[in-house]
Amino acid sequence: MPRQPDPLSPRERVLLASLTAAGPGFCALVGALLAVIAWGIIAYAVQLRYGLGVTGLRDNFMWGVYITNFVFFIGVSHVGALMSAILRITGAEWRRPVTRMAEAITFASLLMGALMPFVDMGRPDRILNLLLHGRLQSPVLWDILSIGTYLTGSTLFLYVPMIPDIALLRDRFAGGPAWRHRLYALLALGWNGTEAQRHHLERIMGVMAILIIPIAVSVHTVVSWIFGMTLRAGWNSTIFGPYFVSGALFSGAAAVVTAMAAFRWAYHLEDYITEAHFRRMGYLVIALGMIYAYFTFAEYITPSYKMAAAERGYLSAVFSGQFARLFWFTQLGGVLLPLLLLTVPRIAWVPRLARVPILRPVPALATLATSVLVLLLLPAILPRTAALGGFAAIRQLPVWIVAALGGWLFLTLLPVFRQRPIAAAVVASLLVNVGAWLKRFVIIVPTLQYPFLPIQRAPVGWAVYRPTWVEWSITAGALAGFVLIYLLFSKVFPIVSIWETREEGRHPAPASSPAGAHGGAADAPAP
Amino acid sequence: MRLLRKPSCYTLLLVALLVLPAEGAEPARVLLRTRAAADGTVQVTATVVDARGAPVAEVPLVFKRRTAFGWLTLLETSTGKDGTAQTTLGAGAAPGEIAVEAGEDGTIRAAVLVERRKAPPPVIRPGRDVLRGLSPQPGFISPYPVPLQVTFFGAILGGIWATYGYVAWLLLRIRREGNHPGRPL
Repeated sequence: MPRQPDPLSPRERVLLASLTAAGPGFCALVGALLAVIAWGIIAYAVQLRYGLGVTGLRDNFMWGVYITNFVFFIGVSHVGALMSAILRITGAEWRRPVTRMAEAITFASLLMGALMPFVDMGRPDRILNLLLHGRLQSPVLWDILSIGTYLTGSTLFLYVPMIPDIALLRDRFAGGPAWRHRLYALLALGWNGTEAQRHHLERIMGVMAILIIPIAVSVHTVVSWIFGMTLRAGWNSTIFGPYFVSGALFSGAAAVVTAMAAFRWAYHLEDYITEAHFRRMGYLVIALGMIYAYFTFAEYITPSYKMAAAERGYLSAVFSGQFARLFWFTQLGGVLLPLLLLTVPRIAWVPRLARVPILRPVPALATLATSVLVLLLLPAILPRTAALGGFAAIRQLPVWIVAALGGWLFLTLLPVFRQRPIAAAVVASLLVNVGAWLKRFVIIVPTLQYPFLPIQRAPVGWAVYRPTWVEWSITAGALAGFVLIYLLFSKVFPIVSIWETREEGRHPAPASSPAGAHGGAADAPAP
Repeated sequence: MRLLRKPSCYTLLLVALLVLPAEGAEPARVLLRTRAAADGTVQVTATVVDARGAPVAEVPLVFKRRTAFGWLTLLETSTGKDGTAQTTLGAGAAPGEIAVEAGEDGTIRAAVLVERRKAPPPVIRPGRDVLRGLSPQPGFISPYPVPLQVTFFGAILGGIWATYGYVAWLLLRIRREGNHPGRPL
């Protein structure tokens, strides 16, 4: 006799509708992602056919964009398991609608991150050699072991709390497509919600929530040791482990904010993911960002205070030379600006800014846009003004003018972001993630460009790393793969936990177990 | 002119030609010889000789090694006064074909197959001594897994995977409970 499906509340129906509804927007997005992935696969085929010579990687630059992607994806993967586990253990009630999103980010980004070292190897037929001839003394082997362990643990951590929901879907989609029903029946493990089953589930969640925290921390620590165990300027650091972990948590929390906004908008989850969730996640991002900023300061102040001769070239290139723009963007645009965006709009005097004429958004933006357009178009219209305008003139603007314009734009937009806190959180989180990727690039490439023994007798162009179209294509393919896995996951499984959000309504009082802990409603006033 | 008519003069000239060093003689062949040393290295010696078998000095030589990607140049040199030149293959080098090309255009060629050599045991010994810093390369840089490190990793990874096993067992119990409620696993 078929099981009777549980009755659903209206908001749960909205959630389940997101599993089956696939409009033209969804199909277009999947098509675009598949096209980018296909292009990435073509680029990889070119790399396989002609070797790593088609990339910008050379003798001195054995790591580049691929390892940047690897560190970035592993970093983003952190937050899912770690944040979810910490919030479960501490009994934060508001976590319930967002934990599965975070855990799914971990799963998708780990899959993509784990691929990157193999792409970087150039000879995938030698993958087994890593295990056959790997040395236990090498951080590279530690990395393989820790990532494998973390992938297994985070998959379990994602899967186990989904079992009651999968059982609900099994009953709900009994008359649906056969593949769906078979998949749900297999993964539901015969879940009926009996007392014994709930007991086992809570026990598993308790064990996994505690276990996954040291595993997640150790994974990114080991990733940092791949760099930190070498004697190279910029990498030879004792705080690389915590520095990497703090950066990973910062970028991962920001990625969760982006995912929350995307799913809230696409699947109409306003009843589940409220403004209060963005506010609380914003607090988390601010706290993690400040810790990360502290570690960054500590990481760079020590060598730059001493300016040892062997490290001078590297430090000069990062602070004021070839990589200065990237570095300062990662610090100002990737850390400072997001933190300001998340904090300043809450200050009481911000609405008064809109009364100042030069800070009104529309005139200010129009003035800026017109100025840029005039500078760009004037040389084309009046050839005599070529020296005054064009792209080159904009690029050569003094730093103080750029800073003043940026500050003006920021002050202009503050009242707008105050009215739209979710937009502010999304812009801040996107900036954090772009900055996080670029920061990984700045960690990896300048060090390789400035080894202790200078690069000598290298062919022209080999002493500078310039990623080629192959690397950019594979990177775009990996990003598209990450988004596609995440998107397809949300089409097969509910992106918000149904049974946990049900319990949120049923049991407002604090609970004792990590699987069903409570600690305050999401809509509670912010501290 | 009278001197030229004497047969002894031609005999002397012939003897002088034979005795004179072979400088300026054209190289005709390259002879290759290998010698394995106790430390695992292999010395490859090339001797360039002319058509009469006499060594030829100052002949340009190129030592090459066959690799999966083609011939790799190991050394570009010239023969010494004794007509020889040498190169040494490191102890860790893989076995393979070594070729020598002699002459300005490299047309005189010889090759020899270097067999797999038994690698010498590493100087550094693993174990507690390494950890105690008695070895010149203490700690994790040891070429062997350090026992303490293996134990440490084994305990951590073993503990984690054992916990995963426990979780899998609990999942099986959930499944069993779903199929047969109330029946113990």
